Amino acid sequence: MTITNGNLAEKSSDTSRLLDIRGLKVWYKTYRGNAQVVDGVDMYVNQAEKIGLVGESGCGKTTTMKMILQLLNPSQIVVPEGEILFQGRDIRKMNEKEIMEIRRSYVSMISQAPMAALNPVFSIGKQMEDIVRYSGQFPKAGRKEIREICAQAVNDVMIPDASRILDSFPHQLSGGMRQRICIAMSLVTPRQLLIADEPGTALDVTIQDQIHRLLRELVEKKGRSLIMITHSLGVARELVDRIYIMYAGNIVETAETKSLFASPLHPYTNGLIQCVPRLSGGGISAGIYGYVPDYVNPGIGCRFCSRCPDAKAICAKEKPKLRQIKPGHWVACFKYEAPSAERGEQ
Amino acid sequence: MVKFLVKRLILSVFVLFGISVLIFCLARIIPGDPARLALGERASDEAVAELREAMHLDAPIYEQYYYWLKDVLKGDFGLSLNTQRDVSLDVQQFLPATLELVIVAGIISIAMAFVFGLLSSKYKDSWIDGTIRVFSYIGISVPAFVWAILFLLFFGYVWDILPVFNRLSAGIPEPNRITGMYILDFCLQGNLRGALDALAHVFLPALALAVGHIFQEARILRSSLIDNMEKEFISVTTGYGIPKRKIMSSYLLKPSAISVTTVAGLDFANTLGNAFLVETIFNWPGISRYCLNAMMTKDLNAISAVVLIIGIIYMIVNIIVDIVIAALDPRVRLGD
Repeated sequence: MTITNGNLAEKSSDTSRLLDIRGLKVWYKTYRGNAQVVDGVDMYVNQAEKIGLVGESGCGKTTTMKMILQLLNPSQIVVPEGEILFQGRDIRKMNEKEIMEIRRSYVSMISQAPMAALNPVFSIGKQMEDIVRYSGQFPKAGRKEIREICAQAVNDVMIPDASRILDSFPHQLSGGMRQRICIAMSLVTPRQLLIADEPGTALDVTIQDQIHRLLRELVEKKGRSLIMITHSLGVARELVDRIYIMYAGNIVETAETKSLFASPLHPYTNGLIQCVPRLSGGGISAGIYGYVPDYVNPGIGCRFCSRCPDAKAICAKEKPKLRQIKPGHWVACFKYEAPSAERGEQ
Repeated sequence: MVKFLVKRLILSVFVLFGISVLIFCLARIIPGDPARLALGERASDEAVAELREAMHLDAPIYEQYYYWLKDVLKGDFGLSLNTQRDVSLDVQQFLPATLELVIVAGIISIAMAFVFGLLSSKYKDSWIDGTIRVFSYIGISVPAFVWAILFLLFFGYVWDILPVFNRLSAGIPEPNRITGMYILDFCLQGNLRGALDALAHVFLPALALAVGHIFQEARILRSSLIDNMEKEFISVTTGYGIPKRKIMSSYLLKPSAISVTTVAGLDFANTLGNAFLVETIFNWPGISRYCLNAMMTKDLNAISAVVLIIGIIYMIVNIIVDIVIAALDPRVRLGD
């Protein structure tokens, strides 16, 4: 077992990285003070790589992702530090025009609420055509060509009779159809990175499974990179190459999917794995005791400390850093830091 | 859409029937013998009895309604006691002036409401929003006739920049009667000077009618714009890099315009009621003044005609509002 100190992001001087988030902190302004929802997130995505970002509701997954597209209302947040490098350029330092360019041509995001993500008063076709039109990637396409591009995208998500669907309005479609349309929209123009924010959460299990499969197939076929946000490790295991486990605004563990399931290290990851229901029975799992900490006063120690079965005295006093335990397998927990902590004393 | 319209129209027929029954009953409940009223104090009893016979006043009430409705459908409301003319002729003469007034008021209120609503939502919580908010409270809480008096005083006398009486200036001849609405008639006849003069005359009373509605509609537009701005679908559209101007002018405005359309429709109907006072203050020769006179003198034929016509206008406005909403909102148009 090799143990390396240091920051995950610092190791990444690799320019082949499509997206590289370094030490990102995002605080929401509230009346009680700043809610420190994202507390130093490091993560990267390579070309054509599928990443899973796993954590329970409210842990800052969506906030982190919305930062990539700068979709949070700037008057409601504080970003004390952090970089979001897209192809080596920091999105946070970009001007309005460059951010629009990123949104138009490079990154798309599938919303977690298919019911709310489509404008109720415009037809599917109109909404999709506008995405194509304003993407600037088909400058010579006329109305008819744009319509054909959209129809193709609708066909790609396994919806027959694309022309009828393009003419219909969101309220005429079922939840599963709407989610497919959302996926079709995100893939209708070539973009390098697709962020899928819990697609399928609002749907029943069989449809959810279809949607996930479809998403993976399309992403692989088109060679896109994918960040899949989910609260289910089971889903992540099926879909992605590498997983980031997020807890209360921190990345607590990251590894290739196989390695993570073979030897989960962080107590929170273990808890999550136990939460995946098994068909072989055994009843409802124990779950993880307790609640996510108060983001306004999260304390100085490990944020999982109060819920951790393995908590030690140091956990409440100091924040563990991500350390590499095995090649590519990083964890932020004092449980695996004992030897290095001792070394640190010398 | 066609199905929706047909359904809406069939419903309107029932509403009209209801209004007509109400008006008919109202006219019969009021004490006094219409035949005696029509012929005057000094008519002989025989003459009155003859007229009662001719007016079917001795027939049972439902039969009376039948005769009344038959006449009304032919456009015959009977004679007006005041003017001694057919009520329908009076209505033709006075109604267009009122229509012109309320239509101009409606246009002013909707146009200004959009300007103020868009400004105050775009600059939410800034001094612009604050200023509009203060004016809104004043605008909504002060009734139209007070605005009418204030405008009359300030624009008519203190500064004397706009005409405050009559529909046209002294030197300008009336347009040939096409619709009876001067602005429209002048325009149709290509007389721009006349149209502008008519507009100047209608402007102050129309503004007095519009003030309250401008701000009420602006407030509603503001809040639904702000509501929708927070919606996921706007965030999604932003995320796809669709330009801000495009989002504001269509993706945000269209769903937000639905609620304000409903209110604008109600407001427009409401201006008809307010017009009674404003027309009196500005000496506007419209139907309201005619109806006020009729009420003072118990001119029942005139009253029931005006009330019925206001009811019909109310209904037409409502149908228009429903059509606009159906055009804006596919959930209404296509059924849920």
